Amino acid sequence: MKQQQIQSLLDKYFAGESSLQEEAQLRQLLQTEPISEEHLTYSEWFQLLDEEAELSLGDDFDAKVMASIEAYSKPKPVIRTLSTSWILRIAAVFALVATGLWWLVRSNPVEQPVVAEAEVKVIDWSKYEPKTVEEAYKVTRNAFRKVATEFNEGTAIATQGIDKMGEMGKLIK
Amino acid sequence: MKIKHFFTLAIIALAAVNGLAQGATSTTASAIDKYFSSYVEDKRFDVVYISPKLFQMIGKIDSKILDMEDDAEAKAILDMAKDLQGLRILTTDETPEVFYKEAKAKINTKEYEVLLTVRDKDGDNVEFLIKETNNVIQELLLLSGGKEEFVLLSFMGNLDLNKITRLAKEIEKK
Repeated sequence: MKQQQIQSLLDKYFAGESSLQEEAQLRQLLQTEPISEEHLTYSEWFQLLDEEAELSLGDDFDAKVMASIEAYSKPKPVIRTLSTSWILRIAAVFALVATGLWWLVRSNPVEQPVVAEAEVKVIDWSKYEPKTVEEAYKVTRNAFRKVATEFNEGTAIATQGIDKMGEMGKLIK
Repeated sequence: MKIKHFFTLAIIALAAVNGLAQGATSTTASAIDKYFSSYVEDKRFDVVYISPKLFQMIGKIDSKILDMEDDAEAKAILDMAKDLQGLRILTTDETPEVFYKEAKAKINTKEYEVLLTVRDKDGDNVEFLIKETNNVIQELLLLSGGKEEFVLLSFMGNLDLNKITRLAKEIEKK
């Protein structure tokens, strides 16, 4: 009798015509009554549904989901790098500038604008040496006297200048 | 390739520019030699050269032969002469002011340092320039130009400013 009732309720359940009460009754019969082997599969099926229904989300589920959403939506830090081709372009520009400067300096020397551009010749200085040691000494002495005299004159002018500045300083005070 | 590689390349490039610039400067390093070579055979100039050998010989000869009327001055001169490796002299009385300006423009100011500049009431200009290496004076240049004469003296060798001052004092005593 119970087996027929179970079969009848199963037919209505799978036909989608069973009420909630009938479904509850079916579950109870499958769990409590001794059932045949053919109904054993259905008993296990309903048991599995009950177990899965008991599964619930953990308390930290919402937090985990929100954290993963935020991580996804945060913009990644942008790392700027120069590609090899750009480095080569910049290096080429520097090389061109360097070559240009070198060419400019070479072709327009700043510090020798006036004198005739004679190449440095190998000078045979022996042609210009005094013939005797006495003459060489006199030339050297005169050269040193010139240096010493101009040195004295320069320092005398500098001293006068300093003295004048001192006098002016006294007047200001 | 990162930014730091870019900066490394930039530094290398700048160093290359600097090196090239210095290389170009070195072509003007012997400006005085060039100046001498320009005028050494010019008939308007008197040229004298005292070689290291002559300086050695001056140091060895008898002071009586040299007619050293003033011992202190002669000693000071001989004391300076023994350190010299050469003396080059270039003088002219033709357009001296022009040659003075020309020589000044020719001198490489990176190579020579101005020691003293004198301009007297008559408009004569004198400039002392030195070339130093490791705080030792390797060359002393005297440039003098006025209405009457242009003089370029180039003393080569190890020069001691104290000795020059001593000689200047001896001459001042006269």
